[in-house]
Amino acid sequence: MVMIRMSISFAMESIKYLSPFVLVFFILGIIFINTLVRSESVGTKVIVEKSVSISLSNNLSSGIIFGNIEPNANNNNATGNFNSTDHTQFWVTIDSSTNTPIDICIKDNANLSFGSYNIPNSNFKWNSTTINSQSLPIFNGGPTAHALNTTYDTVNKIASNVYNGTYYLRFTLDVSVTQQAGIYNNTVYFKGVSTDTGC
Amino acid sequence: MTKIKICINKGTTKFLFILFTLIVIFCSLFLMSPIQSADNSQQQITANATIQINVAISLSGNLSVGIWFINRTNPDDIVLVKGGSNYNASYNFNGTDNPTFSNETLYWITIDSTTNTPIDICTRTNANLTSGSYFIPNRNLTWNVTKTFNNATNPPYPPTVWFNETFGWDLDNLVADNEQSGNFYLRFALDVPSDQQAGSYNNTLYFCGKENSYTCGC
Repeated sequence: MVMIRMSISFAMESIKYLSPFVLVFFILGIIFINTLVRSESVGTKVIVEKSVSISLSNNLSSGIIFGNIEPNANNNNATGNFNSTDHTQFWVTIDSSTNTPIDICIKDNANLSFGSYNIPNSNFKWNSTTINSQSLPIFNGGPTAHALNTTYDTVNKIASNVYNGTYYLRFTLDVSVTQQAGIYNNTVYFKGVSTDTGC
Repeated sequence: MTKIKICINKGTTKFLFILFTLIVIFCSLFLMSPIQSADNSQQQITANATIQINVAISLSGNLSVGIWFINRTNPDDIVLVKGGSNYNASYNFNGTDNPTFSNETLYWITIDSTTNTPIDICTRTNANLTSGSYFIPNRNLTWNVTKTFNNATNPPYPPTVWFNETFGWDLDNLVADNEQSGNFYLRFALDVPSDQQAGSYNNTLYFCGKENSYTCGC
């Protein structure tokens, strides 16, 4: 009897100190079992995550610089529009790790601004093609050019439903005769996104 | 029979319990979290354009042809007498276009609408009014200016500001200070010293519009 009482006492003492461990292992056990059950229920189904990756050319990464512009001049070229061989130095590349069709869109955060003065987005235009030559992308700011917008929209798409490729860009800026002198800035965004989702 | 008594400090037990509980919670959250996908990639750059300064001023027709202190239609009609003060320039009060006022000055400078930054307009002469070796000092040739108002009393007459031969940061030279638009109306007067030699005296006046700064000059 004495031995039995001592054993019970020892067990109670052990439970008193070890009960937190028992609880923890109990919970872990439930999770483990739950995981097993879940794994069994999905069988061999494999979900490959979407991967979208775009990169900008070095000149584009450095920014779209128009340099010094005189007022009352339209279709001012960004400095990277034409290199020494009349090719644009601005492009966006869809990286090889992209594994789903994507759209590439462009927008800016606001009008080009200098203090309280603005150059409207309607004056800031771009064009893109998959060909890089003297004449393409078109740079004359004509009807095929797109004016930037502060939201991603259906017009400002550099590419649509594509897996890969390099998309060349040229940018132009119109400046009115009354444009206040100053240094104007804004931020331009490039977004690659699964075509299913859209920009 | 060997008995082993395991003794664990109560504080340690509580710490381990809390630690394991936290681990369990984090593991559960991880297992229950949705699949994260990288289905978009966004990059941003800056766009930059520097709009150059453009400054343009123009002179009224009567100012463009010069400031005359004689009757231009009858130059032989001598109107200046030595020792006389505040002789009017020919078109100081000849305006009749204002429906409300008359006697406006026909001398003014306009900042053209293409000017795209605040500017100063300053003026100077090249030298004293001279006739051979004789001269009338610059301080005898005076002017005044008002912006916007042009009537019989504005710009004030007689003028009180005399000319210098240099531009620079000098209120005596400033027709406009930090302005980007508008008309600046002028009147001119001449004092002839009492011992002034008879003759026809000339000099050249310059008007300079320049980006507002601490100095003015072209």
